[in-house]
Amino acid sequence: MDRFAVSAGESGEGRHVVTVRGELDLAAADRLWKELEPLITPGALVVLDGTDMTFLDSSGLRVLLQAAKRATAATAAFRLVAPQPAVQRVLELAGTGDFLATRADLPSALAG
Amino acid sequence: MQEEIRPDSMDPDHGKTDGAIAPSARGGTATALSTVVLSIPADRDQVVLVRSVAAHIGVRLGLSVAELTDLRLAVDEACGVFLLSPDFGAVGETLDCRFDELPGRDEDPPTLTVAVSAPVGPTLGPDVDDIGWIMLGALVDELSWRAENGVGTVRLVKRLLGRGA
Repeated sequence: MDRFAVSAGESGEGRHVVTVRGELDLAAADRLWKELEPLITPGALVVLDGTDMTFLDSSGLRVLLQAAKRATAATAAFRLVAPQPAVQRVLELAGTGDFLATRADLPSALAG
Repeated sequence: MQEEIRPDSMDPDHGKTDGAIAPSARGGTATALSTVVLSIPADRDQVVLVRSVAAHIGVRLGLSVAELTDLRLAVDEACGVFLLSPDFGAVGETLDCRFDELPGRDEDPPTLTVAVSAPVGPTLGPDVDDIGWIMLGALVDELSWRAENGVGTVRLVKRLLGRGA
């Protein structure tokens, strides 16, 4: 059983969904960035689907913030779906509201 | 010689105090009701073991779901103080994690005290501006850093409120 899994797929032209399952911690963060970074290109929409993401620490958060920052610089969009309480707690504690675009679920993240 | 850093102190020379074997912020030593010690290789992939032990201890102590969430994150971030530091790689091969359940005394409630220690060089210590350290301060009731005789320790205290002494 893998406690962290990441996979990427396309959902239409220039629309990427990166699915994260499990624990995005200091052991997994680099692996996520390697998957995420190449997708953040001009005009792209990159959605991180963390519906099944159960844990996030400051290392994982740094990757998310890095992705958001890179998207802004590249005129791309990066959106986060991360409804689980442990993850919401970190976003709240870190005060990332203005920096990370979050959506309640995947369909909302892919819309508009 | 000891160096102690608390989240609200920007001065690394702040607060030199005499040490005690099992220091508590209340002063003096306390005999633990229960102690669990875990040594892990100093490797990011192993931190999950510390989170897991912390969670199970927390369940036994009757922490709420929210408190368990915070405790797991706190011990993870404490390990990160060492494992994420560029200064760490050269020294030290294990992280020692000690979980002490301490009884209440006078007006102080019982606590779970977690100490994460590893050999460190003179330049390693928490970055007080780092989001991980700042979050850590918000997750626990007391947080401190101590470097003494080449060993650095991150110490977390979680008060166990509303429980029998």
